[in-house]
Amino acid sequence: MKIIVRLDVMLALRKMKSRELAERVGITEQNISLLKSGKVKGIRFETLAKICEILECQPGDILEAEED
Amino acid sequence: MKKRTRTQKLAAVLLVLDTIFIGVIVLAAVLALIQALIEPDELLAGIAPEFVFPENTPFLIMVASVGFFAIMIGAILYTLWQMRDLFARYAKGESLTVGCAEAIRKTGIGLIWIVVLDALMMPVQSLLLAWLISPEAASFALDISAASLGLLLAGGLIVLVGWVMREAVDVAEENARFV
Repeated sequence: MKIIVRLDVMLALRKMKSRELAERVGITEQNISLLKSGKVKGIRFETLAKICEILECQPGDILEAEED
Repeated sequence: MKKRTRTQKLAAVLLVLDTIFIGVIVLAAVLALIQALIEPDELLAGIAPEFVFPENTPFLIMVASVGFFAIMIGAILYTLWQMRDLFARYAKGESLTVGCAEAIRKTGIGLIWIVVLDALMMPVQSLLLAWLISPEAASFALDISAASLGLLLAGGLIVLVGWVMREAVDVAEENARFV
């Protein structure tokens, strides 16, 4: 099973650019891009909590488990 | 301009000192070699004033002595060069990297070699001299001082620190892949 990141979907729904999210979360835009593409090893709870707070969503709206 | 940390400042100073020290050693080695070539008798008198050398001994002794000297200088310069590499990386602000870990490890290996060569050089040289003059009386005696043992332990410790640093770099890189 793998985890799919739906951050791009949530950003589109909230009409927010990656750069703005990166600035408000306090991480680099590059890391946001890596997160969107699922090329990160993991995400810290702190980062996930900030993203959910800013995008006004639940972790399940951003992360989805999918069968391989 | 970003303010330099105390690590960077100290590393910059040590880098300069190390570089000067390397230059001095290279210069001294070259001068010693020139003197050995110009005045081989002076070299022999310096090595073993009490010996009366048989014919054809000077050239062999000179080659062996210069060889030992070159190997020893090589080990010292190798160690100093690894230290220089490490100081340069720290001065640039690099710390938890593979390059730094490798430089630390190699410095430790260099120190160990210096101790081993230093312990072996005089006995081997004396053995060679004795063998050339009186083969039946030749013997090998190894003398290791407390300071040498201490330096050997220090070298081993530095190699160990280098290995641990390498593992720390792996952990840091793993951590960097978390957002």
